Amino acid sequence: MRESTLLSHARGRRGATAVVVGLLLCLIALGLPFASSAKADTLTPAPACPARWTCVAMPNNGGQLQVGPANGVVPVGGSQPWVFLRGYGFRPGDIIRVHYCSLTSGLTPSPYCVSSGSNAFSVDPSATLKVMADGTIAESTQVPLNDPSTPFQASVPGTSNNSTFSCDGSAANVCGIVVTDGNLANPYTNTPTAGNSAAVPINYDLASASCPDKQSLVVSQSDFGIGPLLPTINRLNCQGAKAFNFFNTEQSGVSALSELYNAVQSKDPAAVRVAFTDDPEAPDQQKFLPAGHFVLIPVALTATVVGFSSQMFLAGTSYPMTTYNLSPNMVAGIFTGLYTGPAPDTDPTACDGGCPHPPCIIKTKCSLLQLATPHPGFYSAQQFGAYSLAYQAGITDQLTHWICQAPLSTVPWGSTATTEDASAAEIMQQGLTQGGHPVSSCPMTDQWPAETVSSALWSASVGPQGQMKAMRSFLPPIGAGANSGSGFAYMTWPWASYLGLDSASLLNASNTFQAPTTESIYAALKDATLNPDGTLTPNYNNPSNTGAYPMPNVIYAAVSTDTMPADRKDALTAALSSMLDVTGGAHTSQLPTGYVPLTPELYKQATAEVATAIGNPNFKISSVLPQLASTTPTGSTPFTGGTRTGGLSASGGARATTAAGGKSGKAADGPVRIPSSSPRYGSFLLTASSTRMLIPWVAGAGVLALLAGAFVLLSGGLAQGARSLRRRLSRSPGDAGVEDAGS
Amino acid sequence: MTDLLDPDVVEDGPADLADPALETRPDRRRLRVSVGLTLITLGLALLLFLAYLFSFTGLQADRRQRQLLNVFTTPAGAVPLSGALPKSGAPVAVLTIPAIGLDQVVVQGTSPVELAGGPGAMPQTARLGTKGNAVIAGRRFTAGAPFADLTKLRKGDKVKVISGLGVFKYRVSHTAAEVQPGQTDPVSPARRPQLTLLTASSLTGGGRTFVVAKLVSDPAAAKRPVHPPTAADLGVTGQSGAQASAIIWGLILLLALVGSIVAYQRARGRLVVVYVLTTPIVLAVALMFYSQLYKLLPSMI
Repeated sequence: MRESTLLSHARGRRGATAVVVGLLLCLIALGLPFASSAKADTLTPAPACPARWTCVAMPNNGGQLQVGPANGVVPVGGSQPWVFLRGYGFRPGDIIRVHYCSLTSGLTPSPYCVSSGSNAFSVDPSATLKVMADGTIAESTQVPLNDPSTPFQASVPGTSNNSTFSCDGSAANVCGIVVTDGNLANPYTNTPTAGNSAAVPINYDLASASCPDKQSLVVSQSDFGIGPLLPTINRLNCQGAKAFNFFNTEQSGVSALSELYNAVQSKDPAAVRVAFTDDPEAPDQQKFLPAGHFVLIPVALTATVVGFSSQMFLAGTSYPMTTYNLSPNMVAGIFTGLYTGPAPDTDPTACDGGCPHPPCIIKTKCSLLQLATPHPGFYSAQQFGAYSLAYQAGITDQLTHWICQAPLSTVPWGSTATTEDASAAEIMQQGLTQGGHPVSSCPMTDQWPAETVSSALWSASVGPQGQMKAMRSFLPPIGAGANSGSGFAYMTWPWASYLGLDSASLLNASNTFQAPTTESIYAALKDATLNPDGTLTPNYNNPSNTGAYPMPNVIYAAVSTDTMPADRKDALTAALSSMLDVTGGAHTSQLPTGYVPLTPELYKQATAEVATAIGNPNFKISSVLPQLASTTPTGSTPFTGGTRTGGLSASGGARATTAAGGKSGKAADGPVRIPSSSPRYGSFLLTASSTRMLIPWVAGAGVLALLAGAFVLLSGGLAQGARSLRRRLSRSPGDAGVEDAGS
Repeated sequence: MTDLLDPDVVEDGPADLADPALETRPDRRRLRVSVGLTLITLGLALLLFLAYLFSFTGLQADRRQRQLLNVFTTPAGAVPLSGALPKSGAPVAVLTIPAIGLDQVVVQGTSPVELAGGPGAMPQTARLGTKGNAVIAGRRFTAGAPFADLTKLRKGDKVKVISGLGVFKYRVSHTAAEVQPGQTDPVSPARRPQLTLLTASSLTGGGRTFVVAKLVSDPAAAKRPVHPPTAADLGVTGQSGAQASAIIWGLILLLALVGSIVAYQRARGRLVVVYVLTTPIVLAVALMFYSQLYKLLPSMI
């Protein structure tokens, strides 16, 4: 009995073991092909390495790291550059560390990396990322230069070895990005080694900072859009036989044109000779472009973008989003503060099938703002921050024109599309009104209407660097957990790229999302309107132009056509020619990220204007743009931008006559004197308030009250004393003697 | 009730009661004493205002400075440090002048209320650190008198401004001088980046003294003002609209004083109770009255 029981138990165990082994073998046999195909199918392959980027293989994990622009990085003004970082084919789930390190000795021994914050950094100099399920990582990181006298505080990551190093762009102080996959070591380590890290040195081009002294200086005033281009122009100029250097003072286009105008009047040889603007048709700029005295030469082509740094999160970890699709309605809602997060009431739409992306607070109502940008399985960032510009700017003008003129959009998402409940113009009005800036119509203006908004999340900043800093300080570190945010700032594309911000794809009038590219910008210019002054106004309302990016941005050089000294004319002609050589000629490969080559038509127009218009009082725009001959009045009123609004045309025309002191025909005689940009106020010395005498008055009144009070009290006593004396005197002397004796 | 302090009652005795003409004397004397005491108290109260001006406002300014400084180190600091123009009364920069030991948080605006907390950046002048004439106005005699020693500045003295636009270094180029009649106003725009420090010349606020410092570091970019400062921004006037509240609080103070005196007279046996009940009220009303009077003063005094 016992033996048979044992036997049956043994047989039972063997049978069970056989069943388990058999099942495992089946699972392995079935699972292997799926597993291998899953890895092959779900990991996003690395694209071709972009120009001026550095792409290196990640050791031991099969991934590729792409960093750029890593070659020929040119610092702009006082701003420190950023680089984009993309990883492909990494092991999903691995923890990746990104550091800015000294690479003078490569990765052996382990390099010193910036260990703490520094004034050179806008955000934390290191980042921790988690590889996504498709094997990708994405980040942008700052790669600042510094003065060797104030080196970065550094340490070897994962150790207590501390030191300092500096990055000055020289071969002796090579610095770069080090990406460490800590999971390649066991146990996990943050310390970069040749076995777990890839290093990408950053190669700076600092030639523009050391132009020879013999150069001719072409002083310029500019809108911010030209800023990232000028160092490249200067660098190429310095290498050539003719050394010209643009000295740029970044400020608004209105200020730039104002100063150019006054400089032209002053005839000072050292004064401003050229101003750059991307918004010459705005009325406040037109008043500084008196008819017949300036030519607007297209010198650069770019786009106005909504730069963003956005996050999504899942399972307690945030991940970067590198794409974002936005309709004009969404942009209006974000920048007016109406849309503050991914709640269903941010651009709501009905979604009866259930909200496909979390969070699904109301199942029958979804946010188009979430749906439009696919991020399946991830939660949207919890809070939006938007950063506008505090000064008059062409990009603000363009953004508000696009918002106010865009038709009601139908937003494509997934395999369907939903028409928004409100137009962008309505959202703009609603947002501004709710934000305390009531408007009766959608404002098309170069001054952001809500500039006085001072909330931490909705602030206006000075320049793209200010926008970026405000945005970065608002955003929590990537990978820091479920605390996540999305920051948006509109700026020119070159600045967004320079500052490490991705650019959103914007919905055009044909309801197609388009990212800024050479092709989409060219497509947008195809149906732009050619103004009588040779400038272009984009068409924001053409439903058939599917390939158009909504906001192409042409930057113009405003140059005087008045007679000028030959040396000044030659210097200006040479400088602008070399600029056009980069922006549309033989050296377009040198264009910084965010600029695209001028279209052949714009390049032809620009070269013709540079050759014939500068310092030529007889220049007529019809000589280079014959199609404008019929629309350009003879005489001197070319700057009447009739295509934007009737009001602008009228104001332009009015200026042509009234600017000459109200006498028609005088405009052609010379620049019209306008009020100086530096007026002097009269003295306010004698306007002081009468309340200034309050202190003497109060002091006097106080003393008087004291004296009066004392007098009243004492006067009572004195009167009483007098009465008593009188009574006593009126009594008999005997009584008095008795009284006195008694007393 | 017998007035124990009335000398007539004590000295004249019942004999005087027979005289009808003397029946109202106690009332008249009581009134006289009340009026006299009220006048003396009022005089003291007015003189106390001077003490308020020259000492208490300094304490208030110190407290306000600490609050303003905290803004730079809290999340709210993201606003002034973002480069955006802060709203009126909000901190906009930190002004440091080592030569006179000045280290103050600068607020946006130059109204009396704003300058009570520290020096103020004048609206419609250039942003601090940018091209143009940036003007900071400050009090010379009250609120801690931050600009009291402006006249001690010498050419070349360092001035540092830390704002949302960056850190800017200035050097004094024009030492203290009083604005003369007909002279170009020192708050006028300028082409070059400069800083004008402005304060009152005298206790009566009839003149202004200014110091100019040139920017020696790189200027920041910012939108330039398009309008001149309004009269209210110039720091030479008090706060419009404060007159009515000053009068109202003055009357309330007068009532409180009279009421207190009457209470003292009628409650001789309970002086402590009257003191405890009336003193806080009188002080609180007096403070409110002083604060309204303070607003009437030209803001740079």
